Amino acid sequence: MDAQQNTLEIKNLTVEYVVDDEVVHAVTGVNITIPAGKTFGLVGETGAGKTTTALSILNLLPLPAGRIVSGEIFVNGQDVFKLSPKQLRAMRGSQVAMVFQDPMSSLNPIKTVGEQIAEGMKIHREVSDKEALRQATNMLEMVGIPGGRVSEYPHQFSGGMKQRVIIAIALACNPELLIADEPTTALDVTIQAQVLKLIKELREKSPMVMLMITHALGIVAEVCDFVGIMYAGRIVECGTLADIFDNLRHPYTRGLFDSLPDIENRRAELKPIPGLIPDPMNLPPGCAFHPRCSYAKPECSRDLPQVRWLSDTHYVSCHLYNETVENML
Amino acid sequence: MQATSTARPFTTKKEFYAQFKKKSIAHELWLRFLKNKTAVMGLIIFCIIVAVAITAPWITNYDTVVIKMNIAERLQAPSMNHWFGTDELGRDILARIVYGARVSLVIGISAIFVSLMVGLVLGGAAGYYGGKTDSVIMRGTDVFLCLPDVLLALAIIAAFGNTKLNLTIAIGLAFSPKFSRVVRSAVIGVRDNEYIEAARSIGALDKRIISRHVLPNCIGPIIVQVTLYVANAILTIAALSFLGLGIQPPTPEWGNMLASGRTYMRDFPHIVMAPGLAIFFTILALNLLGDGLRDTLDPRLKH
Amino acid sequence: MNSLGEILLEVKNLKKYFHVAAGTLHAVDDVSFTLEEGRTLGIVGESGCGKTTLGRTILRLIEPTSGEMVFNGKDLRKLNTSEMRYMRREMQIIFQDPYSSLNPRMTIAETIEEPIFLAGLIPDSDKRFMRVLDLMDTVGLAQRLINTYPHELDGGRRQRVGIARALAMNPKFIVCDEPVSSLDVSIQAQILNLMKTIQRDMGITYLFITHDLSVVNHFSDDIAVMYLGRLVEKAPSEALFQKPLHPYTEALLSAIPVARIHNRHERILLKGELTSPINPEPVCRFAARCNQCMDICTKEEPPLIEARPNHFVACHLHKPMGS
Repeated sequence: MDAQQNTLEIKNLTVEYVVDDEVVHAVTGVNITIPAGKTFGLVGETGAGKTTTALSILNLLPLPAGRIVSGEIFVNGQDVFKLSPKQLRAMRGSQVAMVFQDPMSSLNPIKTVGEQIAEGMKIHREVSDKEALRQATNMLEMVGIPGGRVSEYPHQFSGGMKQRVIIAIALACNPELLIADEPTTALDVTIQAQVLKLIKELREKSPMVMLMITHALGIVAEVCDFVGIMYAGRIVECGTLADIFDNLRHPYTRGLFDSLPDIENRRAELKPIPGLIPDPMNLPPGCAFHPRCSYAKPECSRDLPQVRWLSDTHYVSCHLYNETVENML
Repeated sequence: MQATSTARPFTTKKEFYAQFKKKSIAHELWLRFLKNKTAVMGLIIFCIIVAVAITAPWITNYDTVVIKMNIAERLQAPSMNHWFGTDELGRDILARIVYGARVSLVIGISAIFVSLMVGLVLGGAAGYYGGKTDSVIMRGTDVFLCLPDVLLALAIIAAFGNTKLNLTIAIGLAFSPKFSRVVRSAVIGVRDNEYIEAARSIGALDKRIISRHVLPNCIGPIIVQVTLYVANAILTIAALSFLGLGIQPPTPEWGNMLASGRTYMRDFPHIVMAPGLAIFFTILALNLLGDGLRDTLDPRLKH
Repeated sequence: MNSLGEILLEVKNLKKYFHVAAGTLHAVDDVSFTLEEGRTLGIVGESGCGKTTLGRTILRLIEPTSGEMVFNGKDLRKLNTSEMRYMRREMQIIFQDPYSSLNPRMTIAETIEEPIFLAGLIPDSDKRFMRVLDLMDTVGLAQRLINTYPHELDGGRRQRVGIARALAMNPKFIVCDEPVSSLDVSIQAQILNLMKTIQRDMGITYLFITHDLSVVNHFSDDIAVMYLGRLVEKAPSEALFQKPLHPYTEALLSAIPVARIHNRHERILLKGELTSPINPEPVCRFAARCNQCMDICTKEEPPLIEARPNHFVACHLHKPMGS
């Protein structure tokens, strides 16, 4: 009925880890919406909560520590938290696929790549072994690897090729949502360029939606349509690519961009964000970023900033914008 | 050098250290260990056994109770007089168990101590230097590993005579190659860390690198193996004594008590049950302790 | 930048080969360059190019197969073990991984003190400790952290400890092996600024090894590009970025992800994968992937020539200056 149904909707997600009686607030009140065919880049540094958010989508949080405190996640309209374990298993790998960061440890060393690509197909669809192998060969070709290598083992592939194999495995069942957690971080920059090109081509060919988790703004600029900036478990700013790159509003977002060396202007001093990333077990009161923020006001250490919509697509969570939508930076 | 921007409240290292104390790693590990119930149980049982062994002379008299024969009272079932009953020569079994603990623990622990020292040297050298040193040492230890502990100990006792010292050396030798392997693999695990290279880059000599950087970081797996091998050693002593080749009667030892009680086993089971259970609980305690230590020191669970 | 102009380090035809089951691995293959005092030379390349091996071989933490390293006029290969240990006071290294470059069983004060103690520079224990505090100030570590263990600190702080340790003996030259690659972006900038300040204040010469081109541009005076063990291009940073001569350098530069949505350029994509560094043929090692490959490239290895003033390249596309 709703033709514009969003492929992924995360509403007010809050996740905790309980370790030795201490509570780690990994994710708090996160909202993400991705319409069909688009890519959302979730940006943040270590401990921001990006991977936790991704794992929650498929209910893959490490037990017993991980706990979803509140929130809802809808994949194609289905409430993930209400699914039975059997339905959840059916969804993983077929509707929602995940690509992890480290290609070395994501592949089973004692199975051929063809077997691993075919595995997903055999679990989720009724295909014969022969048909699965044929499709696996096709998948390899699609990711730029000669089909003849379908019976080779992971150790025979280089890092970049392993990552392509992993992408092939993820795409084998034509998922509607692909979650990629730092897919190119472990790769050399020239190989990264090849893999990013592959990802862009795949995006263009299918209505698949992608959640791309990364800390690198350069990669976001390359492949994403929407961007969410995460800090200490919350999304502090979110919008389209143009909103964030041309019109950023949050001091942390500014800090991230300023920390990057400018290729054009090598003499410029780097402007790092002072201070350290907060301890998730011991977050500062009020806005978690306030100890490092050069725009901090008294209310920043007391009250949590509310979400403020600056336009149809762009919102920010910062006390600077309580009264106005003008750029305060 | 730029001027210091922070004021110095003190002038000596001692004062600084008093103000900003070191966090004790040992204390944190102890707290983690305490959370493991079975491990704590193992520790308690083992401590009881050790305490009993140490206080043996105060609990009972060696000459009159432990080795003096008393035929009139032989083969009595457990009673108020004799908590574990008496054996085939009328001696109080409990007293003999208590003294037997001494023998097992002293020889077991000393033997493992000896093999640990040998293992540290050989395994440390093999692991740290690698290459030919490693090959030579490991092939040497492989030879010894092929021999069952009991046979090796047998050979040494047969050649050099049956004394407590020889027994200790024999068992120590039997376990040295095992320790060498453990130490070697722990060293190899540590050796490729960058802080070892850093030590070299600041001019540290091999001796210092091994003692200050390598070994302190290998302690974990080694300590675990020590407890487990002490258990093995005690079993080996019991086995040898059972065969008549270790501790000779009338000196009580759990193994030889099993041997002499064997003929009476069917009608008077209490004679073998006591030493049997003593061995069982000691080995169990040490194994629980060792497993508990392994879990506590598991680097993956750290921080 | 403090440029005293004197040549501090001269590397001549340095080679490091490893014997592996499949043959001989040419990790560093005939690398030569000079480095003036007070300047920073960036060494860039991707995995397998040999840059890490190069850094360690120059310091003789790995023994070279052949070639020379002349540091401050002294041929390092001719020094015996104790002379080399003495030399180490002047040549230090900062490691990449802040998690494995510090001894987990030593407090950070002990880690920083160790080099001073080993060199016997300050026999008095209290004075030595004061020097440790000075070093901690220099790298921005609070006094109260003296008795902390590495696992209690985050990556950025641990790396500062590594820097303090490298500075402890007042070296002239520091090899920085990917010092910020393991750190978060906001912390990277802090550490890089710190390293620049230290260089300015202490006149240190850096060999800055990294795979991250945006960082190396910011941080180096000259840049050398390595590919499969060979030096393929060396030039002052601005010259390298504005007019790269080697096709690999061009591809590398175009592959850098740019945090910008306008004026984006087309990427030059390389074909295929790295060829093997084991028993390589005496031809251009980049030929198989090069989009400007000529016939001669598959027959002869290109020598390193000076194609422009102070701009060296090993590529058949270019001729030496003045020819």
